Amino acid sequence: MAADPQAPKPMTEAEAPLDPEIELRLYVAGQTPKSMTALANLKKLCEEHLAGKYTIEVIDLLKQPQLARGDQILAIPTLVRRLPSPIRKIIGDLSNTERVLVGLDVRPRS
Amino acid sequence: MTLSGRTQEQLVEEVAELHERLRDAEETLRAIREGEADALVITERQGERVYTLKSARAEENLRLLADAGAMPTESLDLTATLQSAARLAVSGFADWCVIDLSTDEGPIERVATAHADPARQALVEELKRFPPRGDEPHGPALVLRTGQAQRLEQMSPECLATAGRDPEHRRVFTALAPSSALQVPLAARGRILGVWSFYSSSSGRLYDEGDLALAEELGRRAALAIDNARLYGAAQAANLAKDQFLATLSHELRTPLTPVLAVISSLEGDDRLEAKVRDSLAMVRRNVELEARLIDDLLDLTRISRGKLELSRRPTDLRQIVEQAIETCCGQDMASGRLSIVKDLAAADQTVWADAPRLSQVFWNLLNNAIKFTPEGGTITVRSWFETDEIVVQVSDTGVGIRLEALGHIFNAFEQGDLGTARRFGGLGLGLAISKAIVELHGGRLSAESEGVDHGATFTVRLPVGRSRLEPAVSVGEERRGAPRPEAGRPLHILLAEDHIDTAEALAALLEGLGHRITVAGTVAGGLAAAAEAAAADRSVDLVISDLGLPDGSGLELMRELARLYRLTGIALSGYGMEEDVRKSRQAGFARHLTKPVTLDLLKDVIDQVRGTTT
Repeated sequence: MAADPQAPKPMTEAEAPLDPEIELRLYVAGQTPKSMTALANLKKLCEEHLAGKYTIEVIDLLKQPQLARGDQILAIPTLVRRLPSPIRKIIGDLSNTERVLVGLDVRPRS
Repeated sequence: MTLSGRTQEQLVEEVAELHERLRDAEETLRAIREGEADALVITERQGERVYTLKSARAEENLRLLADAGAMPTESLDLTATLQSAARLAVSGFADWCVIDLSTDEGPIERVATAHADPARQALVEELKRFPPRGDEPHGPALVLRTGQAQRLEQMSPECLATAGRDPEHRRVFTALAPSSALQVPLAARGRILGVWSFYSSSSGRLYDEGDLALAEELGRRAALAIDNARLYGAAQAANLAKDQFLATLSHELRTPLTPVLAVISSLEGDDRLEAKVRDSLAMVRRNVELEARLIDDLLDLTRISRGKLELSRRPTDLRQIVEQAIETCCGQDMASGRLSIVKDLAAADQTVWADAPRLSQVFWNLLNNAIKFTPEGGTITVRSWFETDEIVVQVSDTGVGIRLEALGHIFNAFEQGDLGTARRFGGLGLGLAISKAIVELHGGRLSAESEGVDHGATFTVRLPVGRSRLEPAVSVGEERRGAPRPEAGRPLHILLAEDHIDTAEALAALLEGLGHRITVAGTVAGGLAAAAEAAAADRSVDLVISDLGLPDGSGLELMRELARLYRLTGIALSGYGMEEDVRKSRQAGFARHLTKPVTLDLLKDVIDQVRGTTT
């Protein structure tokens, strides 16, 4: 393993993406338990690790199911990193912070 | 052979893109298997639809209620249940009664009414036109809001004079002449589902506190029945949605594999390419085939959960199956020295009455599991021996073993057929549940033993031996290929209907390579036009190969028409391989139904078989 996961280092200027904006989209289905948990976890995680660098757009597929097509969403909840490209998807309630950070390429893959 | 004008670079790019898609799909599968999603998007004819999966809990609750014997209902049909409950109430306790149900976000519904006097049933029915509204200050609406039962011992004329929402409502209500009333909530699990209103009229009965208690008990029982019916409905819908989702997903996953497999197999056989490149292509193909197997597992999973896995059994050489499985699964690890394999197949020279591909699948699964969970330097041992009427094949490893508490669960994934249980299973994949089902369909047993973590695991397959002992075995290799037909070799004019452009191009190129003449159509209308044109020009189509999902209709329609007009037969190519799909395509006139991805070898064999039966 490259880094010690117990001691997460804050990102330095040099490690930050060129375009600092991280554009996230969370697909939920009304208020299912996992949708609600995912939203809460996402907010917390972004504040702690990505403060000032992100936007979150929440899309309720119960209200607008047709929007699932754009990002090819099959399972809910799904988090999509729209920017920076390439697009990344993470399914689930985002309770495993490490996995989410790796999935968002904030933390290097081990 | 030309590769539809693709350059090497384009191919590499396409494979990379496919890799992305597969990773995406795998992640989705994993997440669903491990219960990380609780809603699914299903694409239906009318567009996308979202299904929430409360089913796991709903089904559990349902079972709990059933076990506790708490349900007064014999029927899960909600309206019928409530109608009979209403009838029950007017056989003495009330002169007439009304049941209202609240719906999710929607208006309150008046679902059942009953009158002790059949002559007045029509009158009480009229009340259905006046269901309570949520904000009304009294009556059922108030009970719905507060959950508090109400008793109106004596309904005064003044009370009646102001009752009802409008003069028409008041007219009906007054005509029913209520003299005393009880209104009780239908509450279950902390939620108020509806209100049951009891009235006396001609009987002159005045309801007291004891009557109220009885009414409340009736309300509780009815509420359980309602809750039960709703849970059951939700569980059913979610189950259906899940099956459909799995079928759709496997279709989506299969479609892009077809052109990739076709192109790679042809490239692999192209001796102009360097050996090193062809080695890499073989690696790509192996991985795509592995992915295809994963998708097959997914399909098997739905078949097993519906009890629809079917075997086609014939006398089969067990040694060959086991040996081939060892070679396929363990070849690489043996060659690299990562693991050692010990074989003691003394008893395997045995013919068993089996579905050879299915039985192979069992040993693949067991061996792949053993490899996956055994660290470098470990040993996998495959033994066989006879026990009374049984042949036993045992696969043991020196790997990570199985926790004692987990041993009881590892095969159980489908007892409840829901995603929640599959989660317990996660680390071991789907293979074990499928293997167990296959072995049991063969009349055998599959069991697991482990001394605990880090003490390895042993899986034991027991198959019955019996009458088939005398029959000659069919070799696994030969079985797939049909007997050569005398007609094999004559070039055919094939109509290929396929709207996925990459698949169409790759298949057309490969079939042309076999010497056939190919006409490609992307739609049902296009297919019909092409067939008509060919017939008019006296170069009739000999055979149809059609995808089932075409943009303007189904390949089934196309086949039906072509069978009717030109007495043609064909081969269906579909991402869907459920029994129902196969049956439908047979009915439409297809001689064979192949599930994507299809290799060139298989397609070639099937074309030879099909034309032998038609020309």
